Amino acid sequence: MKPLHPNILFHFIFLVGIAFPLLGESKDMIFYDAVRAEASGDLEKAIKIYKTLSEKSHSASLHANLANLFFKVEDYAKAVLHFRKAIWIDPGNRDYIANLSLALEMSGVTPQNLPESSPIFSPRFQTITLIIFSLFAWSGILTFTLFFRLPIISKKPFWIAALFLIGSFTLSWIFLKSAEHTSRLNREVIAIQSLAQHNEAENALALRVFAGNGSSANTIIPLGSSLFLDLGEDGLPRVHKSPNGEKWYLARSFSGSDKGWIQRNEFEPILDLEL
Amino acid sequence: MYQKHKIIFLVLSFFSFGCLGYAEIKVEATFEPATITLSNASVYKIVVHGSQQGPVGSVPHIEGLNFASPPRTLRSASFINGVPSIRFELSFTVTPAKTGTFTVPAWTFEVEQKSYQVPQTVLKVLPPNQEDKIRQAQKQQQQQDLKQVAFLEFICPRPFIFLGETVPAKVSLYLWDRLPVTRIEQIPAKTGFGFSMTDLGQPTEQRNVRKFNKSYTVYSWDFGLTGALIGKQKISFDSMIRVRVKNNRNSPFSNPFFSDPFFGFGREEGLKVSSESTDLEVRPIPLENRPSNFLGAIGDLSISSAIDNNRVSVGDPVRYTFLISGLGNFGAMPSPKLLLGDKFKVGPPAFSFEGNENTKQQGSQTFEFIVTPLEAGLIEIPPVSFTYFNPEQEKYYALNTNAHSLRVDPGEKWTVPESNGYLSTPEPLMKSSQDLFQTDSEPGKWIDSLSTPIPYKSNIFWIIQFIFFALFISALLTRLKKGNPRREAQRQKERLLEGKARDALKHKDPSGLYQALRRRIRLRVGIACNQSNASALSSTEIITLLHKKGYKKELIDEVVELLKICDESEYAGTTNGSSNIESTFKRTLIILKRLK
Repeated sequence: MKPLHPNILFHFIFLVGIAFPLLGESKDMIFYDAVRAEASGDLEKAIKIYKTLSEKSHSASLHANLANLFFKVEDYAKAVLHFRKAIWIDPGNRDYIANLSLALEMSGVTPQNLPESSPIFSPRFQTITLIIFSLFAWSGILTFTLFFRLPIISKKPFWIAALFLIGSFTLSWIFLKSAEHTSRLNREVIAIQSLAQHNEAENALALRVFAGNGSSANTIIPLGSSLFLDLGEDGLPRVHKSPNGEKWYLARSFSGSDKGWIQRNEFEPILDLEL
Repeated sequence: MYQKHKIIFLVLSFFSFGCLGYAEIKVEATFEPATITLSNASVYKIVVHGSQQGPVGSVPHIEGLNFASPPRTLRSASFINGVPSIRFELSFTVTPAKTGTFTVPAWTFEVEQKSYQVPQTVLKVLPPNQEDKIRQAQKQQQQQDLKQVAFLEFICPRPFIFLGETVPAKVSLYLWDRLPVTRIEQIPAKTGFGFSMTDLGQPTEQRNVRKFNKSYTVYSWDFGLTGALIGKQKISFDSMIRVRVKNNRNSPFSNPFFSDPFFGFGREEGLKVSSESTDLEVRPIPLENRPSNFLGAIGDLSISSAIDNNRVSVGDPVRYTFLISGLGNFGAMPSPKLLLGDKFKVGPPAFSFEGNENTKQQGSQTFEFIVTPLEAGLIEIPPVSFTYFNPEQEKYYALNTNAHSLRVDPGEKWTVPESNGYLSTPEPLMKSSQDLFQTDSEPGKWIDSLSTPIPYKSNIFWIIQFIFFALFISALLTRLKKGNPRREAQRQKERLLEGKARDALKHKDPSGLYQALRRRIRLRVGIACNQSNASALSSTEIITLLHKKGYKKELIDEVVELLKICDESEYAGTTNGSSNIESTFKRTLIILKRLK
């Protein structure tokens, strides 16, 4: 076999050994630049660097640091948003959770405005639930295929079948609940600013009656609150485009009692959504 | 008259060229001239008479003779004394490498799909005469002159360097002013593995430099040369320039330089320019007295350190700047290690160099660390030690920075909030630092997008589906394969009879039980002995079949006894107690198990 040309070998080694790790390092370097900017007291610059970086990639530390900075500049709604992002990536971090609690308190968001979350229905366990459910269902099908024959005289198979059905229903219920939570999380946005012409309260977002700037507020909610976008028939958030090109979304609170139209620039989704 | 001659000519031509196709092929081989001196060349000529087709074959390799390839070819057709003749000539220019008599043995080639032999040929090569020697000397002189037209010069300040040491070196490209250089195609590139060097930047230009009685324009590049491999190493440089040459295909690099000067209009050609190979020793750094914290800094260096803020809160980052300046291997210098104890968290440093960018040997290197205080109070950033090796004095030196006082205010405290949506996390919680809004100095793991997992896109899920589906299909096929309808019907009957027997036992109905048991024994014997109509078998026939099948006598006796009990119960109305019927039922089950 013809040996590899040294140049080709060199380029390969360079690509694998140096270039690829450098791609990862460049993000690290930008992160460090932001930390340095913060250390030198230039919080605006640090926020700018973190925000630019967060458009390309995410890490728990990045969003937590960004949230800390927003907290320091007293933009509590954005602090809430980025703490939520950080917690989504690193759900076990107590510091983030504690910081979020304080940020919510500072925003004036009451617990009833927050969605409940049960670990068993967590979207991150949805895949595991589905796998367990499929394992359970297949095990039952295989058991009946291999070991039971018609007509069934003994009562034992009935008990097994009953247990199997109960287990299947339970697991499928958990899966469906988890899917529901996932769908809700995918629609969840945080109110970050109000662009209403007649702001009825400071640090509050007006949910308008109609999708237009001149519309009066149906209700107001504190900035930092969670809102859930209504979905249209196509499964995508219901959107209305005003003649001047502004996009309006119909959103409601977790309880569903507060509902109204909000502009795209007034909220930010927790997860990456195409809006 | 003219018409008559024309007809004769055509007839003759027809016969002549008709005969050419049938001409006999003859091969000749000669050296022209057959005797030469060592500095001359001869021509090895092969002539194929009677064909114009190119022969297929290869000239044998002769040690000491070099056959130029491809050969010149010549096809010809002629009338010699009224006889038509065609031939094909192949001419190889042969240059000898040594004196002596060289014999090219007879060899074969193919013409018109037939093999022909090339006869043996001899070339005599004589030692060079006086004229040859003069010509050779002239050629060498011309080559030397050509080397002086453009050359590279490498200058290193010392005949040795230490491993990892960076020295300022220089490579200069000398271009004779009369040489019509159009451009420098490739800047000098190093040859030799023992060294690494900094990138070559823009050269400095110097005009009218006199050397070898010629006037040159000199382009010089300064760079940093670092020893990479211990031992005596060779280093040289090559470059490419473009020069304009006369539009003469025989010029100028194979011919004497001065007889075919470069001047004038014409085409461009590349000219490789090389430096002399230089021996340079790379010495190891002495092991003796080497401090344990020596990290590879070599040069004549000084250090300093600074912090940008001396009052912060717990968790707030502080910028710690470590500056190394002087002469040294800045391009290869590792960052110092900051051992600040448990009171601080230290992030990785950012590098910056200021100074001579060409050599990276003179200037200052800054290492900027992010230091995060982990506890409150008046705490001190301890002095940081730095060790370097001085190559001039061949000694190690240790330096220390100053300590820095830092006043750290306590951060905001928090109490665990009441359980809300976000605290109910599925994963074990990490220990809290009890201080709010600490800046993470490490980015942690990067992810590309924030999205919920899509279960149907999980590979594990689909692998499981595939495996279980395959198992299900296998099980189904096994069931279908084994599904003999007669045997299945017998099994169903057996299950029904077992059900009846159990019911009879439950209701303490001996006659029903014995009837069911006898029918089941019959059925089982029928299955075991392959009897299709098992229900019609009498007790005697059952015994006979069991004997025939070769069952043990004990088992047959037990079956006889059982059948007798059953017959008596059915026909004579004899009944046993409830304990007896239970034991008979159990005994029957054992016998049935053995009757397989």
